[in-house]
Amino acid sequence: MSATFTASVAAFGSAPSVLVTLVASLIFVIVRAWRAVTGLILSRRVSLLLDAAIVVFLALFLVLVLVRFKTLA
Amino acid sequence: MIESAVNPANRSLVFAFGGLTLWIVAVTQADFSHMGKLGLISVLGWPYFAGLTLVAIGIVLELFCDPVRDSRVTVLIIVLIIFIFGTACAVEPTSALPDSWVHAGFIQYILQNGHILNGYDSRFSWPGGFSLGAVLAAFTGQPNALSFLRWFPLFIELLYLAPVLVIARFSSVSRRTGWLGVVLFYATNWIYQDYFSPQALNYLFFLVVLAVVLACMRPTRHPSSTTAPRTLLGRAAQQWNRLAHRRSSEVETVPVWSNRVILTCLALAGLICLASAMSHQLTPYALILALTACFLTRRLGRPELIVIAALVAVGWLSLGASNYWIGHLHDIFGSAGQISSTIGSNVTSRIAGSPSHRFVIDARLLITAALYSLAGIGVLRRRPNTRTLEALAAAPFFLLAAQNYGGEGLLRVVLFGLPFTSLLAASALLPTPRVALSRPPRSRRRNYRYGRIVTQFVVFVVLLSFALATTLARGGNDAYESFSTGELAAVNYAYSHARAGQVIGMVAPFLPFGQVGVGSTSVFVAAGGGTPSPGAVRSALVTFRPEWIILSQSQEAWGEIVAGYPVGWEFSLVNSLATSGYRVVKGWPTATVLEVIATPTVRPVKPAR
Repeated sequence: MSATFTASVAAFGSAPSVLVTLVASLIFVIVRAWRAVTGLILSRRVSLLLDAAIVVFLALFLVLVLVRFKTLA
Repeated sequence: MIESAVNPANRSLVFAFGGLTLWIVAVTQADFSHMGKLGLISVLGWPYFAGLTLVAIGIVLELFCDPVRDSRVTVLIIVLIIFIFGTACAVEPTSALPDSWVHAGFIQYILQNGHILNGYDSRFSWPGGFSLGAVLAAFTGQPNALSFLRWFPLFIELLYLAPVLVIARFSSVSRRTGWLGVVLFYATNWIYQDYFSPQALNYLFFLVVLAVVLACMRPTRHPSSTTAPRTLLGRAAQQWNRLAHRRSSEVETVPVWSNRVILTCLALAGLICLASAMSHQLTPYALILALTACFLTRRLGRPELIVIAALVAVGWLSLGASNYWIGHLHDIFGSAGQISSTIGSNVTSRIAGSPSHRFVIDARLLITAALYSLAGIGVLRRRPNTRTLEALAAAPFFLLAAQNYGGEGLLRVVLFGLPFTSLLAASALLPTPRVALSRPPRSRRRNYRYGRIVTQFVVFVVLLSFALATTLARGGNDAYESFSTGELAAVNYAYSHARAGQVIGMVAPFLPFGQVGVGSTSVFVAAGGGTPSPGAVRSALVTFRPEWIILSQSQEAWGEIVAGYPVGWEFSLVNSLATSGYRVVKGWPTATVLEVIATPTVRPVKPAR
């Protein structure tokens, strides 16, 4: 059980998972910047969803990077 | 034509032309073979110093013209750049600094194989700059990157001029102060990180991104608040509201250009951040700190660029550079928070060696201290709308808390803050938005004239002093960091005769080595990273027994200047090695190559790269 759990945790630190969260974060941040500079009007709910998605994926990215450092280093 | 040449309006160009002529005379007369313990300055004659004085006079004359003539100041600054950064390139027969040759070797490997060599060197984990070098070498039809090495410092410093001018133009200082700041930037840049390296390229990236950000947006004026909170908690809440809402929503920053232009510029800045993340270990984080400083001081309207820069930097570190940190994570984060040991490894441990070497180090410390002192005065004398310059000058210091960068962290801190400390120092000398050039009342004209003369004289003395000190400090290590054609020939001889798997030995890593044989020929440095005794060096060479040993003039100078070895120690070493299973196979006036007579079957120590 513990070996399986450890292997699962290590899988979170694999390159594809880190890359996916990185790309997702980048896309959301770029969309936010583009919306602000071009003056695109979004509803308050959509804006909050976008900001929440950025925060979630940023946090996930940082956690996965830390897991990657821990498991591989 | 002669009348126009002596026209007072053209005096500064006459000084520039005269300075350049004297520079040509100086580098033509300089004899590299007579370089002494003080490095480059020991081979420069009076024409260099006279020419530099003329250039300084020309700069001061132009700075105090009304209006300042941009084209003429630019010409004078270019001549100043040639003096400070082109002299070593012209005098020394080959490129200085061993690392530039090592980087050429990395580019050579990519050119030949089409990929990097995993696990060979930590720098290969940030291969962006080397890949670019390989592309340029192939594009220009060169078989390798060696032809880029020698004049690269002058070339890259000239490239820095454009973004530094933009930074000066949009830093809320007057035009005159901005020009003086640009001059001081070059006159105090002793740091010598402009050799052929990813750091030099990434410094250009750093300057360009900051120039774009400072030019794109301007801060609004702070609205005067009549209802400032009285309690500390209230003030803290007001600041948080400013940061979280007003600043993040571009309320306190005004875009200068249209939305489309700004979007394009910031997109390009983002791409540059990505390129920087893939080509250098430290610059992306310096950029993040600088952009954060711009955000906090209302020069960056939105935080997205900072987030993108941080994402690509950390992303590359965790994904692309994993070959480096797997098993070496302590090298990256081990010195985090250990500021005193970082400062010790950066400053204290370097103040060693012969009196001449310590004199050069003292000159470097003095230039830095003087610049920061002037910058401190400038902070007090100026009355800006924002404190962006101060924040940008202070931001790189946070790098020290995270990494000592192999003992060079403080150098990088000074380097990344240099454009901004130079502008602050210029503000100390010319703080007012407009030098009082409008004619004062008749009763005060005499005082005004004397004050103007005193200011010009002070600026001239400061500028010339910095330029001379930088010439000394920058070239102070050249006695052992620059190489003769004989030393290059010795290295090429060893590489051409060494078979795959063999090791080339040397006392200290001050040779033009590494440009070939990446992955096939190793290098053994007997002194390691320290200054062992000559006996210990001999023992290390005899024990490890590299197939080839190169001894050279530059290593001998290092031994005498830095390690404190007696004069003639290298000759004694050659004789000692000749009785320990080595024979001299080839000699030049400045280098000797020895070959082992019998190689051991097992080596006791792993060779250094």
